[in-house]
Amino acid sequence: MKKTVLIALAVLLSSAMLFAGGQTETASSSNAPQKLTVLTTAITQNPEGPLFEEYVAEFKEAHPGVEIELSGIPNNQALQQITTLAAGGSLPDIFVSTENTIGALYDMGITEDLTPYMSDAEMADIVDSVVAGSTIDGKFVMYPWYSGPNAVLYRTDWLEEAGVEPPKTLEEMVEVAQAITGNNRYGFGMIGTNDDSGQTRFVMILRSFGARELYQDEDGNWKTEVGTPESVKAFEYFRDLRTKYNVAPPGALENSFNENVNLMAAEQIGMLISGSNSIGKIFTQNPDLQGKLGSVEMPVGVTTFTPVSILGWSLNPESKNKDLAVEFMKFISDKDRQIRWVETTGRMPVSKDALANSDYINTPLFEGYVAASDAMQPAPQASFYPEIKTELGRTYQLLITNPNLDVEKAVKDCQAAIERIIANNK
Amino acid sequence: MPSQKNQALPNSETKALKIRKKGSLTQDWVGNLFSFPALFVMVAMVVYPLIYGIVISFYNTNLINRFEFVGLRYYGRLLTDMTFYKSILLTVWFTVVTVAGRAVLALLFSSILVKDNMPCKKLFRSILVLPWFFPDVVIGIVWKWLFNTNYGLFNFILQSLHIIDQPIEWLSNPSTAMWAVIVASIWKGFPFMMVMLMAALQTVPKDLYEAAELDGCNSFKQFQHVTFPGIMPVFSTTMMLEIMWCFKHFTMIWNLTKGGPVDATRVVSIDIYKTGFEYMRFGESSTRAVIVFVIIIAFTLLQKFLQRKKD
Amino acid sequence: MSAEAAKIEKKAEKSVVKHGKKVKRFPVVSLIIVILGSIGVLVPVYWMVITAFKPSTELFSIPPTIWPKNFTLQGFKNVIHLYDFPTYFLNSMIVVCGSTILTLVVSTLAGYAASRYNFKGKGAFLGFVLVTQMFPSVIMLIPYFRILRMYHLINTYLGLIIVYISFQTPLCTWLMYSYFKTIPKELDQAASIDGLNHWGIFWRINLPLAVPGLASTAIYSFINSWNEFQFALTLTSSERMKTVAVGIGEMLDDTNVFYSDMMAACILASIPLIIFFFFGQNLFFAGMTAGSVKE
Repeated sequence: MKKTVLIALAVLLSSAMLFAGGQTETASSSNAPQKLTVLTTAITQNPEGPLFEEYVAEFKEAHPGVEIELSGIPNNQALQQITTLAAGGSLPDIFVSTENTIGALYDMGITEDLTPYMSDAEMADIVDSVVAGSTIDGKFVMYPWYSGPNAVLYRTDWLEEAGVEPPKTLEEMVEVAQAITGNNRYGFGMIGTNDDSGQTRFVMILRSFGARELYQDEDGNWKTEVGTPESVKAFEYFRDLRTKYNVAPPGALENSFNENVNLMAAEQIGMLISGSNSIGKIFTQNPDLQGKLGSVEMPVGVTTFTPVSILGWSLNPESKNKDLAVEFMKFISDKDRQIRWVETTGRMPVSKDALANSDYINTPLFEGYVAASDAMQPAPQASFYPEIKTELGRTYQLLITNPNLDVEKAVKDCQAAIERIIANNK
Repeated sequence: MPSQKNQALPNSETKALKIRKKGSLTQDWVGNLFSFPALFVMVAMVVYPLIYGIVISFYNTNLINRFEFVGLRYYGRLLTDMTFYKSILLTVWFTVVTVAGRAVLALLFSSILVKDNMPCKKLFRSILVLPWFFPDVVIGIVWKWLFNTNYGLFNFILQSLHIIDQPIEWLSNPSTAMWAVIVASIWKGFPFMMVMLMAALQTVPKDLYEAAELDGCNSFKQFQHVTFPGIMPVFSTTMMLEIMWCFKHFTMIWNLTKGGPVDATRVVSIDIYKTGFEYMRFGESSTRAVIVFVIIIAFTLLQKFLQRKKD
Repeated sequence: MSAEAAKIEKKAEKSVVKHGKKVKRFPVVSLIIVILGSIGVLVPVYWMVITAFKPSTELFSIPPTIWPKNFTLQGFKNVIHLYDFPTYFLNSMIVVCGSTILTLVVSTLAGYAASRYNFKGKGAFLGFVLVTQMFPSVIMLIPYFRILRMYHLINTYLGLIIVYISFQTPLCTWLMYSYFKTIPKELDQAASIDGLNHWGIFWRINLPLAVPGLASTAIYSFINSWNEFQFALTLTSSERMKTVAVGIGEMLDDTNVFYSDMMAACILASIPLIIFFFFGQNLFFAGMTAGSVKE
């Protein structure tokens, strides 16, 4: 008995080693002239994955002899993976980048300036706010593929029922939310987690009240407007949605983007600040909601703010096939493919041509998103920006869990923390 | 008691051996030979990462193109930062409660599940070991879902039994969030210790129980005098490992709360991850890690010291 | 029957209960404890299982459905067709079996050495082995990547096997060390009088006695490698090298969680472990040691 076990183990082991030897791959930096290595977040997703692979197949068909090696990575692991690959000297030719990661990637010096590869006409076709968001220090370091601007997604039927119009201002948003709250329904889906989803949405409100969490003055010094009366109002506004007006469902601080999409699909919330990609998810979970959703641009306070949200590609400066790589980026984001992309995934095109000519998005459902994709404004490109957003998140969570706390003091503490972060990073 | 003799044996015996075998190299030679493969693996694979981790704690670096030597700046900054101490204390608290919970459950279930007269042993063992089989990520998601205020199972059950009117915000309330995380961590972690202890219990000779029973020991005394000394080496090793794991535990907490709400579950590992891979300040992240490392070493040394004193 | 006789018989019965193993009391309290424990364990597991069978329209219905209204196998179908789990499964099997077996060899020897011999630097060795466990693993991603790249082992089974061995060896060494410590040393002396050499004492006497410990250490090593996500993700970027844990981990994203697929994958991935454990536990837990000690 023991012997058979041992023999079995030995066989397994040796076969494992055999496989290990047999499957050894040559490192991706092999000198085959017509090979592209691509790191993407698309293939781990659905429905993005299959469509992306279709595009890749089309590219291969149009470019015989070209080999494309795809590797997938979940969104939340992408920066970590790219850093590891770059530190290990195995960075692929093309890798995914977003408005959140491009600053860090640029800082590492691993993003090629794509300006020389672009014709004037090609640049002119990209939505202006997207170009601005893809450019750092005058260098075009991210080739945009699609955008995901936030807008207010709302239940048209609930608003009609309550006899209210979609909100244009922040005050109206509270009124509308109050009008549709009741009967186990909540007017406003609050993303109260202290993660990027929650923080970004709060920044939208903060900036709409006229306070910037981080900006550069004329001398290039980083400053914050957290601590100003406007910022206090913004924090109060956000807190009151949950604790005073009760228009946001309980458990707001644990509900991130995913949970809020679930709540919208479960017909618990009537408005949600979110990207257009949530529409598809909501319809999958609850097909009855088709025809009952609409979108409107982010409501205005003293001003309005829709942060840039782009997913694109960056080019490894050490790539041996730069021209082919750029060709690949252009190929998969041409007009028709952008239109097909939005129809399948709900992600907004970045080409003006595609935006204007997609029948799919020129509907009331996408109204807010089409407007928003033209109105995106870049967020500060400081390496310590995520840390500052975390500090904002901490503060709104603190205020919501302690509704009686002195807001001004909490905001002053937040200001001190932000200023400390800025000082630490001089 | 014979088993206690076993316990005491290794030390006195090795001491005796040392004296007897002074000058003779045979024993040394065999011991070194047997432990060589392990040592080789460790040296080949672990020394470099370890040194790397320690070295970058002295640098301001993004690991690619910026390596600015900052000496002890990060250490100074951290050691004067109150929030760092808070997160250390929170980590200690999390570790103590979680490990204690796991140990109690593991001792309880393992001692029951090796009893001869226990029916359906195999089935119960297989059920109780289940949490161990699933990845941390999935367990984190499932518990987050169960705890959810709006569509979670726990609130649903409590509400349908009319125990509560309003749903409880388990993970949104700073005073319950840590407990929720601890419950989930205990649930996920106790089977490891249970299995280890069950295996250890098998090596306690059965005749010792019979002897104890003849001596009129009740089951508690039997546990105290026979069972526990018999499994002590395994128990203390698993405890030590559990403490180290809990101290640097990350995945479940991250998936359940991301360190929130406010700072209720912001343990050290959350900060290490965030400073490293969200803020891209690897040097500072490493500094935190090194300090955690030192704390764990200090703890291990303390434990060894106490053990030696006891012996 | 006289009262006296009955008394005597009762006494006799009592003494049988006390001394004989076969007539032990039925363990009511223990049973209740174990049943409660099992319920506690099974509630979340039950939730995972029914989630795998729920259609996406029913996942987050309020109130939650305790029993799926519409059963669907879509999650399982996706796992096999959309994600290519069979390949992931094969990869995991190769990597995990390879690393578990090698880890056991290495750590059994080391644990045995530390428990029986008093060699130079033993304390330092045990300490060093442990030290490697104390550093948070996130920081180690990049150095590990560099080591593997140096030997051209990125995207290979062997690379991942080596990494897992280095993760599991420290703990397994300590576990085996403590299991060997529980085995009485009188046996060694007896065996050495019988003329067995060092290897013989290890192989013929101690190793068979340590089988329960060895088996549970094996389970530990197996499960940990089976579920390891971070390093597998980073060190094997290519699609055809993915392990099950990576496949499952990739179903979770900031903006997307494929709940049904994930639970279905998780269940499929744990079935081998469950079967292995259920039928294998005789090997680990049957009182084989108690028997052999008496020999």
